[in-house]
Amino acid sequence: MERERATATGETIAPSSKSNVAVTLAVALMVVAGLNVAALFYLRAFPRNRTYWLVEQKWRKLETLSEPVDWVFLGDSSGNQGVRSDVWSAALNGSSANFCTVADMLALGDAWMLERYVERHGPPKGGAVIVHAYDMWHRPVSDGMRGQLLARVPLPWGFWERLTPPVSLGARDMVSLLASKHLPLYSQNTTLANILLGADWLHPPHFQLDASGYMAHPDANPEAVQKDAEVHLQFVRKHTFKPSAPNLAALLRIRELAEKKRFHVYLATSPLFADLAHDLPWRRYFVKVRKQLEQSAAGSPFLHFVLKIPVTFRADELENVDHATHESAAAYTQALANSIKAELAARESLGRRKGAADSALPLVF
Amino acid sequence: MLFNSRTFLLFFAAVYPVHLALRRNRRAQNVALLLASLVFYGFWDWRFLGLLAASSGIDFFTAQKIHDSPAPKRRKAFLVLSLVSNLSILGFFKYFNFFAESTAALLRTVGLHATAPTLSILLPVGISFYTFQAMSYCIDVYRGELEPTRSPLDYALFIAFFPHLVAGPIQRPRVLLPQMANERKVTWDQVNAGLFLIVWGFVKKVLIGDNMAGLANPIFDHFRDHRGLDVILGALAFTLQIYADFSGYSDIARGLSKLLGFELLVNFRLPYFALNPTDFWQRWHVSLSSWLRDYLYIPLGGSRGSSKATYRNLVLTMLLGGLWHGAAWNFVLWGTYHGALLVLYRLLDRNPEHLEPWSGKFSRGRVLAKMALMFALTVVGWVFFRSRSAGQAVEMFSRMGFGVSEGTRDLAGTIGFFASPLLAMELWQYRTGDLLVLTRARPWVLGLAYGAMLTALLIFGVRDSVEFIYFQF
Repeated sequence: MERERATATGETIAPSSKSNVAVTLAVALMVVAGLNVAALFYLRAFPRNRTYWLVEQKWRKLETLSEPVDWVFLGDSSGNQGVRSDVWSAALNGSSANFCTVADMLALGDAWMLERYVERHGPPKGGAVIVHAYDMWHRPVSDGMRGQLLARVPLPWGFWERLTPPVSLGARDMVSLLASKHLPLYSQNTTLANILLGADWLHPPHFQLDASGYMAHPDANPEAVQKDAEVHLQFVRKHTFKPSAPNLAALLRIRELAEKKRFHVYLATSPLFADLAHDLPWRRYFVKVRKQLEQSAAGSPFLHFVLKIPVTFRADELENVDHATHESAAAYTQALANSIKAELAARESLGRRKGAADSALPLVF
Repeated sequence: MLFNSRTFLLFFAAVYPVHLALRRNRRAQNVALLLASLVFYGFWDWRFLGLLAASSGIDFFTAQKIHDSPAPKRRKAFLVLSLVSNLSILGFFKYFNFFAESTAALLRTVGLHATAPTLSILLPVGISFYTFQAMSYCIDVYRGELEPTRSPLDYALFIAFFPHLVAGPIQRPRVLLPQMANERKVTWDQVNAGLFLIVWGFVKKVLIGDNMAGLANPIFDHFRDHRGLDVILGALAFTLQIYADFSGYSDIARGLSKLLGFELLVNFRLPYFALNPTDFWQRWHVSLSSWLRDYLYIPLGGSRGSSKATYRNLVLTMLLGGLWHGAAWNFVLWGTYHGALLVLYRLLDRNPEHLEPWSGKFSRGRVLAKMALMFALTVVGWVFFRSRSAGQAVEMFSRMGFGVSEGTRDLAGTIGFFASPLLAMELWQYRTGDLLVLTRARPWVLGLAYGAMLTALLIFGVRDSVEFIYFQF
């Protein structure tokens, strides 16, 4: 038995050695690393965060899509649970894929996904439909996007610089991204704490997408809609609309891609809670959003702005102010399809009228 | 710069390799440590450095004068100079507004119109800790118990050594100064013990203390919205918070010191296992309570005089101990409460069970009952300490009861969840009588324990660097 040592303060400390300390530290690191890997697999198998899961699933769907589709849906979560492929094909024929993710991915996410889709499958025959809530267009690249959301995109490291428009990340963002990707003990600590404290790890929530990528939400939540509407009202009362730079750059890129590859892209407003749509401050704010989207589409034969007046619903038809239930998603999809049909019809009639005179002009401007 | 911040992590990562590289040159190592300590302290406010330098300078020279003066009167005069300068600095920066406002309030109660001349004074971090340390140095030299150091470097490092500078433990010059002055070597025994103290200190602070703060703060800050068991649970949460926070800090400070090759005094010896107030103060903030004993209580006469004199000395010492914590009446009340407890126990309970509680002389039930009673009395004291006024404390006591609310179960569950690792570790430490008991485990067992602690810190630890409670003192 080694002798214990009394220190200058009279405290007795246990004998140790370099190898003992090394073993202790190595085992401690292995335990943390092992538990980190376990958490990684657990959260992959039983995801808890719908946002992260959605971004990852939609990107995986895009990257593994084996055949081209006629219609590509892009946008945020309002489109994710607002555009039903069954209603769409009944209205407009053709296959479709819903790649809508979340608003914090901004229009950047749409531009990147569209680029990847066109690269692999060529332009979609029918077109691309981009559905966003009105309050997405002002958003900048958030810390959440730089960290957790980009970490969910299953593309090789550095994709945010290779895709257009690129996003530049600082060293701190990179560390955060790396941690979000590989260190769930650090980056998803709240989720893990809730699992352990709530002891619901045996009954995780179940997220599901249909074959097209649409996520059905069966139940309305009128109370949540009313509360959410209050938050939106406070927001529009305090802010004047100004589009964010990354969203403008993404719109330009989408337009450029559409014109270069000669396919149609339709920007659309999301479903909306009727009471909010009737509120004056909200209208004032929205008019500016609409003006911006009209400006972005103006002069382009391939970029169109449809559903300029949002399709509205009652509180008992929604999950929150811009998220439709499965039933109201049918009505929204029908309205969206109708507006595109109208756009197609207008284009066709304009084409017939101009056809004879302009047939010799090139279509790229 | 908080121990629980990324800045400190970077700071220590830069300081430690330099310290180890200079291991063959003690003087250079001391210079590097002093510079690091000044950077650490200056991080709060560089202006505090001047005060630290002035305070250290006065004591360094007066201690030499005390030692070198042959005439007792002259020696005493230099001691008085040291004490007056230290207490003036402390009094001005910490207590000026408190006494000015209190005097004005007192005058108003007797009908005199008085406005307090309050100043906008920034309280230098750690001032109570380092002035007490400096005073003990001069007093020890005066008493002939210590040779003054002739090295300004060693003395400055003794005062400014960054692990203990801002929140103790308050070091005794006899223990720390020789470590500054003599050759030293960082041993693997120290590294092993130091690592445990750091990891366990962080668990106490970030995992237990900061989570308890999240439970206690809403109840104390909005006490009128709560009643029944919730108020008791709020007080319990603060009881655990202040202990985990302060003892966590002390553990980290001691652990860092061990990694640097220094030994600091133990500051906490499982205080919530105390059987009576005397026992409690031999376990809680030991570096302060022993300072108060040696430099205040005993010079006042201690327990050598009549019972009345002893009681007066106890209450006065504890009152000043309370006031040391801060310039507010709640601290005075808390100190007086503990003084009264000491007196009451002297009057009613003369059994020294705490000296050998489990020897078989006393029944287990009796010992456990006394432990529970002392714990309950401690919780009561913390209500005074945490409340913003005596009125709040009284109202909180009146709101206590056994009624439950919708949130009671969750509150109790969360307290239980975060307190359980503390209870488990401390039961083990108490049973073995060894605060470093875990370091005696096999290395791989220790590694498993650290792995579990680090994982718990990552998942449940409060991420925002929350300031240590005792920084304000």
